[in-house]
Amino acid sequence: MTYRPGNPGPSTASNSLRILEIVARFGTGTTAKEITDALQMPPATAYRMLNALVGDEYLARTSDLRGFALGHALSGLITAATPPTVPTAARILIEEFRSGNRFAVHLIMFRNASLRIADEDPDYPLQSPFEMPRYPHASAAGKLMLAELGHSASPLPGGPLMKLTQHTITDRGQLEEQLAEIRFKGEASEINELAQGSASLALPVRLSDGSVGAALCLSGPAERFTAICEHTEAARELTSRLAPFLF
Amino acid sequence: MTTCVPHKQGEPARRRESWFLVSARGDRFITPRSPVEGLSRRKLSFLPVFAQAVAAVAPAGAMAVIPALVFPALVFGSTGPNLVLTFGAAMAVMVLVSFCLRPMAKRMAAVSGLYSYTAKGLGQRTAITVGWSAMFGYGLVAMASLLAVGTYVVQLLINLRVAIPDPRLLAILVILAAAAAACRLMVRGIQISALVTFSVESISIGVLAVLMIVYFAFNAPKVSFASVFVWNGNFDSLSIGIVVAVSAFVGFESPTTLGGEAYRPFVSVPRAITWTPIVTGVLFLLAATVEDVALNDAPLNIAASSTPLSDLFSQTSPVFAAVLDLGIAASWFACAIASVNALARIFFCMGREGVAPRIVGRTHPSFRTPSMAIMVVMPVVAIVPIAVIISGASPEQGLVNLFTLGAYGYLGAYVLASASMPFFLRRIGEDTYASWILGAATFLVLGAVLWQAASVSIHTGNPQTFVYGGVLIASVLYAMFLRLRLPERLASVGIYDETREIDLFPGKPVP
Repeated sequence: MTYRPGNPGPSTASNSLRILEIVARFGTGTTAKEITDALQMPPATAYRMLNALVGDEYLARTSDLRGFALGHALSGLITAATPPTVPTAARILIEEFRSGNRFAVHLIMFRNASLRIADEDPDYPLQSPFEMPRYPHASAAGKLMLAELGHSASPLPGGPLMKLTQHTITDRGQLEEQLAEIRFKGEASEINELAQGSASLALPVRLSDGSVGAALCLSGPAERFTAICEHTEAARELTSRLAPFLF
Repeated sequence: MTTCVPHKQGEPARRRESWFLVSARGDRFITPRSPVEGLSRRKLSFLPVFAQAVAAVAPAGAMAVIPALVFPALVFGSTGPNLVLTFGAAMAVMVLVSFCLRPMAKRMAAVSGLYSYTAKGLGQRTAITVGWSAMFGYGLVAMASLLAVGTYVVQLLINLRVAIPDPRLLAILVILAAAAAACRLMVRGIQISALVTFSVESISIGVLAVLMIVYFAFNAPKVSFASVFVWNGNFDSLSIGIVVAVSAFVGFESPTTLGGEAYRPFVSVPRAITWTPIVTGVLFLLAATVEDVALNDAPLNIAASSTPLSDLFSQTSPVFAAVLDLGIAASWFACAIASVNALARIFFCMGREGVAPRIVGRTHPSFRTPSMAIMVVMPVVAIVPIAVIISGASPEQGLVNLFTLGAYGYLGAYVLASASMPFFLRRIGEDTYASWILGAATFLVLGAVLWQAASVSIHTGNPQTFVYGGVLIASVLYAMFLRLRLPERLASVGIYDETREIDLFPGKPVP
């Protein structure tokens, strides 16, 4: 059983989220009264929480000051958490490419400095779909993203880097060197770093301004890495055709 | 009403500034254009916002001057008021005011402070009175500050035994230079001016604190500290003392004019107005304690002087006194900047609304400050202290008169803005019983303070009350004129930095 207080009082965090949900459902202009009615909350508590949410810009007041709307500070959460949608035209291009080779082909998008699996190869599913976004330093797509973000926006946690296999790069200096090389070459690779026995190659899908917004990943057995690399040119050509559909 | 000037290819269209029908009524959820467009938006971090409040209060300057005003304003000596108690009570009153302003600051990113709060609370006509009252307060305190800068710089040179052929001419030159420097800093941007004011203020408080400690190290007080806290049972002198002491706190509300420019205004502005009365109050209490002891020891002529602290120190060492003078002058310089900053923003909003000349609604194209309002206000603010000096009136008397008159302006604005709070909340459907009680209590307490000040002033034959009363009446008449002749302009009163589309989800795309 989860803990629930006797009355719904100021049990802060979850009530804040409920308020956000109400505003998201009712839409721009939802009033404090509507929120307190919907949540059966004491008004003074609701006002306090609303002001706190407005203060942190998770909510914004409408021009008459009565109503609320979702604030820009939610963008980070929503963008990072929402699975990206891939247009059918892009899926068809990727599907065509998949039929022409014997490796797994995945499309990974970069959302708010995190990796999101946009299109997974149905025939060769990702071996570690949860570990890959969590440990960007260990995957080809992740390293491509880290190289793109540079130092300032690095999403890597402060502590020591997780060692997933004995080949995972855990030394930050060594990682930085590799990121510089990735930036120079415009491609990233990983052999046995994310999972023992597998390797992958990631190629950037660029926005019109040249920045990288997604990675096209080719994965296969580690010993077949050179064979994977033979597809580099074809994959590169695919990324430039994909870009207009994705961004 | 937007007219676009034809522009050459490749050059950005420059919009002619006309904000006739800016919405202050919130008839749409999100308005496409902000009525206060042109100001730099959401850039100031908490420190400059807090600095604006602290500088407008000018604790270092007030610490040095106001307790001295509380003294000679009354009979100095055995029947004098208890400084610590007086300041404690004044601090309580101001904390009450800050509690009233806070709910509004949390809900509205005001650019014109109490003026726009009142417009949303007690209505647009009352807002005109509050706006005028607040501008009157800021203006007079800015004038007094410049006068104080002049006085203290001259005093500094005298303490350093520099031969000055004409102290009055020097004071005028100092005031002109200070006004020009302040104007430049303010037009350059609040970021720079606030940082300058904050560092200046911190240094002057530090200087004062160190000097006070050093003074007592050299001159062990003959009076015991316990005597400072003795209550002499004189209620009359206490209430008058509170009125003067309250004027030491005024200006703490000035960050409410930075709602548009502050980064996360709904956090930083309420925080600044909550903490400033407390922080400065503690400083005042410390200073009052120390000065009570020191001035009790001092000869009567020093206690009654306009620069009592520096006179006191100059007994010990002229260099001490000079350093102190520099700190105090700097503090008043910062106060002048902060006051005009706030004043200009109210004036700017009035210009945008059309209830003041539209030209003052212009902003600087690259610094993004209300530069036109600043440049219109500054000469007026500089001329008055110069006139005081030229007229040959004693600077002490000029300071006292300007500060007290200014305090009326602030107090009048506080009374109405505090009373607005529950109405403001009711209008947006968020009033509570507590808000009505708080609003009423603050209104009554402040009203009593203002009443006390007015009756004492009338009793002593001082024309200040009438001057301020005249301003109030003029503002009421002007509001009536607007209602009859220009109702659409009156209706646009109360503009503020409304939510923009960029503030909403999804807002700026996240990388």
